[in-house]
Amino acid sequence: MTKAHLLLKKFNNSKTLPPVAIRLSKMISDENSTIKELEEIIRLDPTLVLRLLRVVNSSYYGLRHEVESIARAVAFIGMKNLRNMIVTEALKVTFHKGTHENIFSRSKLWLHCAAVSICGKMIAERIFGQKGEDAYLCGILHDIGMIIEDQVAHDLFIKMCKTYQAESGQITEHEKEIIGIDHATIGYELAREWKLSPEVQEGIRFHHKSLKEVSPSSITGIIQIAEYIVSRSGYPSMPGIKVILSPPLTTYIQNNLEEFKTLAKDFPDEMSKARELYDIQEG
Amino acid sequence: MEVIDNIFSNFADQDEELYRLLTVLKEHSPDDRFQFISDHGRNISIGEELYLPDKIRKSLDGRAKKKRGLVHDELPDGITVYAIPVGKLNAVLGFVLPHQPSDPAAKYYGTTIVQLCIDLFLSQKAVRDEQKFSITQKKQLDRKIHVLENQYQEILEVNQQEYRRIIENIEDGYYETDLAVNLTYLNDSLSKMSGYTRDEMMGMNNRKYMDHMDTKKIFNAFNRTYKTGKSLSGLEWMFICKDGTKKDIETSVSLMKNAEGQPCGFRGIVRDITKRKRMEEALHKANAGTEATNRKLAKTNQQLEQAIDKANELVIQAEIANMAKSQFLANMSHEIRTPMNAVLGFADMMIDTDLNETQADYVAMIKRSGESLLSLINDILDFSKIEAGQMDIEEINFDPELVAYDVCEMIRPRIESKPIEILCHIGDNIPSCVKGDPLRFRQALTNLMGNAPKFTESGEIELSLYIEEEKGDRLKLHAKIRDTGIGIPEDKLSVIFTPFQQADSSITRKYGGTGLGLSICKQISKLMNGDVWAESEGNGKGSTFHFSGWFGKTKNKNPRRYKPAFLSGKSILIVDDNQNNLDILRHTLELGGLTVASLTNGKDIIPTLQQAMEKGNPFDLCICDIQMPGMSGYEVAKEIRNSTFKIQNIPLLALSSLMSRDSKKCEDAGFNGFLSKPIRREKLFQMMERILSEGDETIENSKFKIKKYIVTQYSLREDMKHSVHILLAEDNPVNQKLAKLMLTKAGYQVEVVNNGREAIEKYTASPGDFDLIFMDIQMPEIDGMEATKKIRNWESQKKNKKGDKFKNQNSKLRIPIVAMTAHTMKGDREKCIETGMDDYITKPIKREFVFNVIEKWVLGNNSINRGKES
Repeated sequence: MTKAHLLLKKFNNSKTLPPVAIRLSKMISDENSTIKELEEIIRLDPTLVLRLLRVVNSSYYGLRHEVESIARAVAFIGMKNLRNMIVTEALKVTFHKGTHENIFSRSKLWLHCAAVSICGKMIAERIFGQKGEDAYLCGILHDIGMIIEDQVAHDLFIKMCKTYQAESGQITEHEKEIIGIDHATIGYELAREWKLSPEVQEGIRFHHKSLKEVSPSSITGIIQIAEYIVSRSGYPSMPGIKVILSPPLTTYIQNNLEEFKTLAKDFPDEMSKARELYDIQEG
Repeated sequence: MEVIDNIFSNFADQDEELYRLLTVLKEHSPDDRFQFISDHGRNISIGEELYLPDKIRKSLDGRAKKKRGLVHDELPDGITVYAIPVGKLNAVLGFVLPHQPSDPAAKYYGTTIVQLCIDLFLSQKAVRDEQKFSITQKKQLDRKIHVLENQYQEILEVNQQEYRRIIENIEDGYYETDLAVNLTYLNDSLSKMSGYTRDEMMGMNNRKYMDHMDTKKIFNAFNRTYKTGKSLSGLEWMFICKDGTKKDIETSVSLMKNAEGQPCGFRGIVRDITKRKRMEEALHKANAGTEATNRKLAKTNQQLEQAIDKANELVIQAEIANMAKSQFLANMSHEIRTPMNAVLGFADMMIDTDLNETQADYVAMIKRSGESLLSLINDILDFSKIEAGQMDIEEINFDPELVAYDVCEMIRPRIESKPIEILCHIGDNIPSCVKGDPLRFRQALTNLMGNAPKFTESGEIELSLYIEEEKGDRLKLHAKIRDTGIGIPEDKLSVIFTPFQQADSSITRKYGGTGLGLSICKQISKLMNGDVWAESEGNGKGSTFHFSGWFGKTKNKNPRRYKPAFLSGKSILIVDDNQNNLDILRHTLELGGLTVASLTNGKDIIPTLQQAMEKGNPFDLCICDIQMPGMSGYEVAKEIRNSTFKIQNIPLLALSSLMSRDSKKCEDAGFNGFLSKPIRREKLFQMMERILSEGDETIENSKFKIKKYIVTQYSLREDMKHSVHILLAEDNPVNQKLAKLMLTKAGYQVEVVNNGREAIEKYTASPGDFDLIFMDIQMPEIDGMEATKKIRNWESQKKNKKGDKFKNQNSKLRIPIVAMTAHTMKGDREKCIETGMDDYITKPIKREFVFNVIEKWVLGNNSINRGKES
């Protein structure tokens, strides 16, 4: 654990994350945060509001009337959704810096995270009939540990990427070997620091672990399922990475194959609708 | 576990499909034998199996997949077995036809049926799959919608809470009703306003808290809102509170719609306007009052305007009257002065003829009366000018010292034979030139000083002039006239300055006078931003009059310092019984760089002179007063001249308070020079220079047998006079005669013409003949102004005509023209100057003025009196 903390500390000092994200994290967990506090954060990044409204008004939310202000947006889509949007916007930039395209690409990773978050939300809503915001948030953040490693332990990380072989097992094991810590743990620590809900924390922590017992409708379950579907739909986090699926989940999928097939079929459509949300605009 | 790799290709699912396919095939070809074959040994079949050897199975499987089409092989027992891949199910179907037809057509038929069945089955499956897919999709979308709906509800609730919170915090009342106008919601403020609790009010019908009339009004309003969907505001009605009190209420109402867009009730704001209503009433009352007041004011305004119009009219009338008066004054002035001119002039001249004592007496009286009359006329004119506000102050350069001395000169004759000394003390820093009105200044001083001889029997009359204050480019002159006369009682000190007032009516009888002089003085001083006042203890202790006025500084700021080089260092002995005079004289001489010793007694003169001579420091000059008690000046002079000592030849200068006739006497007594008091510095120094430079000659020649004529201030001018030619233009024969006599007597050459035309002709005929033109203004044919204009035009034409050669000669072609005018109204002087005149004197013309003017314009260029202002 200490190693994670060290890296995290280094990361925080490196000012990689935009201020909005940092401030926002403090707010996310607070149920009582008001629209005013939110607006204050947003003001840190002037163009953020415009980008947010663009997303709100895109086909992803399918609103009938155009929304012109953040306050109105909240009235239509709710605070949690809005927060998630802001996190997405904030992290987009961080993930965008591309290095080492062949071995590790941040932008590819971003696409993967966006896919997982969108898919996770779909699974929560369409399969389990529950709110999808937490699943979304977990999806966006689940691989952030990799960014941190890339940022503050760059050489080791690249070495790890170069030497990883899918057949030999989960990437987290390989990370532990080379770097001493894995990205799931780092991500989990960050989630703790930000005081995200325990469910989300767990989701990040175990997304590479095969669990004996896991409820499919839990965030952890949903994220793993989402990872599986996403990897088969062409959005791997890294080329050739191996995806884990805990046995209980496998069973569940098999028992509800039709549902998941349908979902998988609808997924590309949903991804294209959400382009505005995750796509990095040039210029 | 490779299962993971493709969950979506699950065998259990597939098996079902395969069985289904088999069923379909068996239906169509009951005699055929079907079996699914795969490379891992699972065989799915219905009924009979095919019993394929492994080798054949593997070969069929591989070949079918490779070919992606129908393949066949021979079984050991000669039976042909076919295999066809079903890609969509990920399986290969093996089958055997019944009867083993050898006919190729039959074979074809058999295999084709199988193929068709498979195709049919697959497309049906696709439809089934599609259906399943749609159903599942719909299920999932329904779930999503459900989630969103819940979310929506939550958001609505949050919004509602927020909304309610705001509503609760406003000061105004807020209400919501159902369509029957029963209250469904009200905020705290409304509850407080009404006096009912929230619970009490909920569901309450409006008839409970408003009267019949209002109910109708409100009902109509709500109805209208319902029908039109538009909100209304400003509905006023009376609320009956729980405790019975009535409050004025203003309400707004708008239609509430539910989520489906159907009207479900009303809502609005309720405001307590009792206070406002009361204020409105009060305002209304006040307004009514204001209206009445306004009407009154309008009436008053009208009256005022009428009054103003009238006043304006009166002003115009007054102005007309004033102008008429001024015109009258101007005319009168001329009419009166002209004969006065004659009276005085001829009286003067008669005095110079041979008269016996009685005649001389009579003439003197005529003259005095005439002068009195003239001064009265002048005073009246001035006074009415002041009244009309027409007196104004000039701003020209002049020498204040000169004016002061002139005034003293003028006063001297009035002393007659009284033992009074006239002293004149000029401050050191008095500049040689100031800007102001010399005429008025002179007039004021004359008025003030002129009274002194009247009221003083003996002693002194002193005029002192000094600078009281300086500010920027202006300075305040202060003149003090002190006499040792009868004085003025304290209670009359201010009265005397009011017009027509004397200190005492008896004075008028004894001393004469109009009583206007001092008031005119006061006006003059006011016009100069100064003041005039008197100090006196009364009862024979004398009086002091003060005059102050502001004048402008000129560029020549330096007070004169006349330091005659020739005289510097000389030692002078001065003798006068009057200490003040002595002091003034000493001061003047010492300022001039001379050494001075003084005596007050005539007896002491000779011993002092002796002493000095013996010591080796002889005096260079002795200045001696004539009128002294004990030994008079004459006696002193005689004694000195008759003495046997060296001092007998000392230059002597006589000072006299009396008239010029004494000059002869002084000459006889042995004086070298004569000056009358008060003495002007310049005159004194010039005189002394003259005497001292001549003095040397006298000593060498045999004493005073060669009589040198005594130098007087006038003799300094005499030399110049005879060469002066004057052209006199005057239409009045009496004035003509008078002026001609005056001028000829003074030694000038005079030529007379009768009008302007003649003047022009005479002058332009031979301009070089004349040195000065005296031009009367009012003349027939061509008057003075026009004549001057014409002369000036002629002169400038002359200048321009000649070529360069003659330029120098003619550049001086400008004869001094002096106007003689009886007009002394505002603007007269300017008019004269404008037309081209150089100066003017007023009628009746006085000798001194005439001579001054001549001196100024003719002799001034050649004068030895340098230092004079030009």
